[in-house]
Amino acid sequence: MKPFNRLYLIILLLACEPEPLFIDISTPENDHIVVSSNLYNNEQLIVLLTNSYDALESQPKDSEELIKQLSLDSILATIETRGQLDTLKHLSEGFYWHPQITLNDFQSFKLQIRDTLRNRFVTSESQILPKVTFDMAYPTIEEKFDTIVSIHYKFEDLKGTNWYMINVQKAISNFNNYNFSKTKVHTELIKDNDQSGKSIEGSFKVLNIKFSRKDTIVVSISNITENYFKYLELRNNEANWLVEPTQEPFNYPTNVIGGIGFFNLYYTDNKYFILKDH
Amino acid sequence: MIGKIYDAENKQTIPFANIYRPLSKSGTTANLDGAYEIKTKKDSLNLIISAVGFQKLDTTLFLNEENTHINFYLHPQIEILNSIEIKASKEDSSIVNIVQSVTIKQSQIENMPSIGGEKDIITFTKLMPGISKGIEAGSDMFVRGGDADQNLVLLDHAVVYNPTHLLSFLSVFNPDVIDQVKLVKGGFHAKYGNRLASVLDVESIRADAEDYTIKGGIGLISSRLAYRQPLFKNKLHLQLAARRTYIDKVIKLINKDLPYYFYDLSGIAEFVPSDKNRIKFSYFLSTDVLKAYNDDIRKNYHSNFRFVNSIQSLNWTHIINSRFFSNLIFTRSLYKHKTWLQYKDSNINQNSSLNDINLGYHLTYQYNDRLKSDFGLSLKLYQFKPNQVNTSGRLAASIPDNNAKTLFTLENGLYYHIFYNLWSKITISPGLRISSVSVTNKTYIGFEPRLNLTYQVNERLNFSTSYTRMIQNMSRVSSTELSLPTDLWYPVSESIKPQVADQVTAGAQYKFPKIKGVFGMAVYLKNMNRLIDFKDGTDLTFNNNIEEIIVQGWGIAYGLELLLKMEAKKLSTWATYTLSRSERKFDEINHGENFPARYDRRHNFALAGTYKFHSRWAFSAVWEFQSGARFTPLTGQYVVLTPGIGGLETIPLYTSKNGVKLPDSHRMDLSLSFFTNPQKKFKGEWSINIYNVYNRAMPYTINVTKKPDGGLQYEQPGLFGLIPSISFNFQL
Repeated sequence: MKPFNRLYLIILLLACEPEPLFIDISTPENDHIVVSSNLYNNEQLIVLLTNSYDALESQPKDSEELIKQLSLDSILATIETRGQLDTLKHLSEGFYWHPQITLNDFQSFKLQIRDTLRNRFVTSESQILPKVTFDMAYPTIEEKFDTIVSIHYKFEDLKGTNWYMINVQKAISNFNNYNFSKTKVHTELIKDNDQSGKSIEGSFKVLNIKFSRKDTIVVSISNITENYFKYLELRNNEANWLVEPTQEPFNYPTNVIGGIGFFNLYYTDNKYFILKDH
Repeated sequence: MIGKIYDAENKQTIPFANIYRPLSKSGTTANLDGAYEIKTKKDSLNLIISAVGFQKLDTTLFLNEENTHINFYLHPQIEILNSIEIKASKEDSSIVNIVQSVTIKQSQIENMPSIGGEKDIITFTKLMPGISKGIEAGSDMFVRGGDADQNLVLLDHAVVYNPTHLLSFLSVFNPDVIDQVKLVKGGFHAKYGNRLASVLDVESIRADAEDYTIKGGIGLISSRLAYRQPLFKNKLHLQLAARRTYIDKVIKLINKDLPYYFYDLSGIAEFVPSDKNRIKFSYFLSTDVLKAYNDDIRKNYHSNFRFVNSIQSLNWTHIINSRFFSNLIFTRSLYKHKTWLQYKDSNINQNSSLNDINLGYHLTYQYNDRLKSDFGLSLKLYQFKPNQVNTSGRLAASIPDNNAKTLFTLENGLYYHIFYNLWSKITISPGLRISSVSVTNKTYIGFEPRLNLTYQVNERLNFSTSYTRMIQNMSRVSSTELSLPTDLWYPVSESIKPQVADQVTAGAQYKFPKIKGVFGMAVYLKNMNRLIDFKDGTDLTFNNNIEEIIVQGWGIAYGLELLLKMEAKKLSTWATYTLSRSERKFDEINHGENFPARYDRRHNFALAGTYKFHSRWAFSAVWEFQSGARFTPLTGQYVVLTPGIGGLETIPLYTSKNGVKLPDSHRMDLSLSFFTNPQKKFKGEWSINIYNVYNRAMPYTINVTKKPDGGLQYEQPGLFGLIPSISFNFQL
């Protein structure tokens, strides 16, 4: 077999890998206004306003630097509800803040962003849905190759068709020198099946976050809109390494008119747990 | 005078050959088994014997009482032309345009360039006009703007659900077993159904031969062997063939691991109890195995992927009388794949299969010289076992156990197709197929009219036009980004309705009077409804809620196809060109806006030639050009707050769906063949092949990569560069 082996070796050595082709793709300029929001302690509204950036633009890895580079700082951001118009305070790079907004179930809020420098205007609306609370929530820990945390929950389904999310993350003790991009959040999505008034009970494992026994975790539940639920469903799927190879590229839905991102408001019911106690 | 007519090369009988007596202007036709009978009182007889794909034999015989059993041997045209012979389908006489329907014999591509010496007839068929390719070396083909799962691939009348080896690199068809491939793209016969775009009808070689034959080949990728033996005074013919790759062992020589192998087995038994009956049984099995493992405690993993096609077909051809033929067909096709993955404490077992059993009865009645009809019916039972998944360990959280329901579908087809020579120059062939498909709680009934019209201006020029409606009752759940052997087939249901395509074609064909050449052209317009696609961002891999992720929409495709073939004594060339466009529209995708199909390649061009510069040497070349496929590249990104507290995440931004065209690609392949002495019983052929001579990348994706200066750029890698190979084929 030796002569055949040599022949194959020669042939394989002759085989070449082709040089890749380099191309220019003329795409529309990526300078969309990006909106995202969060409600802390069920009263403080935080809105992050940034620019999108081109795929070929080299960006800093540090989240603080990245936000600094993309942040929109000379704009007017207002929030309007039931005829009352408030201007959001500029907190730091890209972050705008309302210290206390009054929330009522099914109340709608309209966010308006005006960038006078570049003559851009975006608007978005969100509705706050009734608050859902845990009847029971607790973690269990499984020590195998890693520390795997499971969350067990029980809550009462609200009236009508609802979309819930349960978020799990490590609790943040200090926001000074805080690295936003390193914070991982596991989002579990639950759609009710017209079980109004009945209990919804279940459990799930949190695999995308590395925990240790020393950690304190926060588990929160929220009642969110259908559109935001679908947005998060897509995001969860994309993060699945098994799905990614066969998944076709798509643009995430947005509720921002004239821009991209998602503006939404939702109550949260937070539970804190020290893992070593479980 | 009696006898049989044989193929001089493989000693198989040639059915339905024509035997013409020019002096008396009379003639006869050989039967299915190649047997003929001529009644004559003359001592000498001038005969012209012809058959499609063979050289005419003009001979004068001197007869006496002891010399009345005479066999004739016709040489395939390849012997002279040493080239590709593309001919209009004989069976579907409605189709007279070679651009609509082409038949390619395996023997006619023997000298064409190939990778690793595998003369893959499907690879070659994809150079025909109207066909867009998927990624380089992939098996998928997109016919007249259709999708990859809209092509019906048949092997001896049985469906082949995954016709590929080597993860789509090669077709499963062993060249020693294949006789011919007929590709029909338009003007479909009413007997065909359940696919929208094309029929790729692969026919295995007939096992009958006067004597035993051994064929085989040794190549870079695999080796193969076929053995054919007549038994019981030529009443029974057997053929066995096998092929196995050793690419895993080859790669190991350069200290790399490719834990992959495939093999295929084929068996044919043909029983000819009488001149009027022939029973053919075919068995085919192909298996691909990908097995990888690492026992290192830190990286500990094992994986095993297995893909299996198992096909059986039984075909009884019976001549009821000189005008009435029947064909009873029973087939069974099974495609299954198993996946087992183990990583640390996690295990995934996945099983899927598709099984069909088909019974068909087809009849042909020749009323007179001007009127013929084909009619028949088929009953087919499908069993779909989609993803059955068992998981354990850490992965069980993200992939839960799933025992998907087995689905049964019953599909029936009833058809009638007439071929009527209205006047001497006009042939009309209307047909109708009535199909039904029954699934749980639902039955769909479809009417599929077909019409072909041909106007034969003179011996050289004809015009033809056709209208066909095709209905498809199943689809492959696969991404247009990457099709995998693990892709599922899924039937229609209460919520998923059958796909429908209406196609109109018009064409012309001209035969050059002085040189052996033919030019064909066709235009087509195809309107497709209820096409299948999948919601954005859905999981196609382990998903069992297929009905929830499927969306149905609309598509349109139109184009122009040209084919030119020229033959001289030593040189044979042909060229194909396609100008086409294919669009889609789904309410749930791309914000409901129209978008180009993934393989909407505007221009496709191929040029091939064979030059036989010596009786024992031949040189062949193929150059192909195709416009870039469509792609949805990453163009930007943005940063948003995550749900929860204090998190940020980056979201990608893409163009509109398939919004960018990849650069055009082109490639040249060469082949040099040397034939051993053709006079000897042992015939050998050495073949040196060079794939992608000028090492051009055939792009299949776009990546964002770093430039040497630190910036970023769009890069398009190609799969294969220049690949030289040597192979040896033989026949004894």
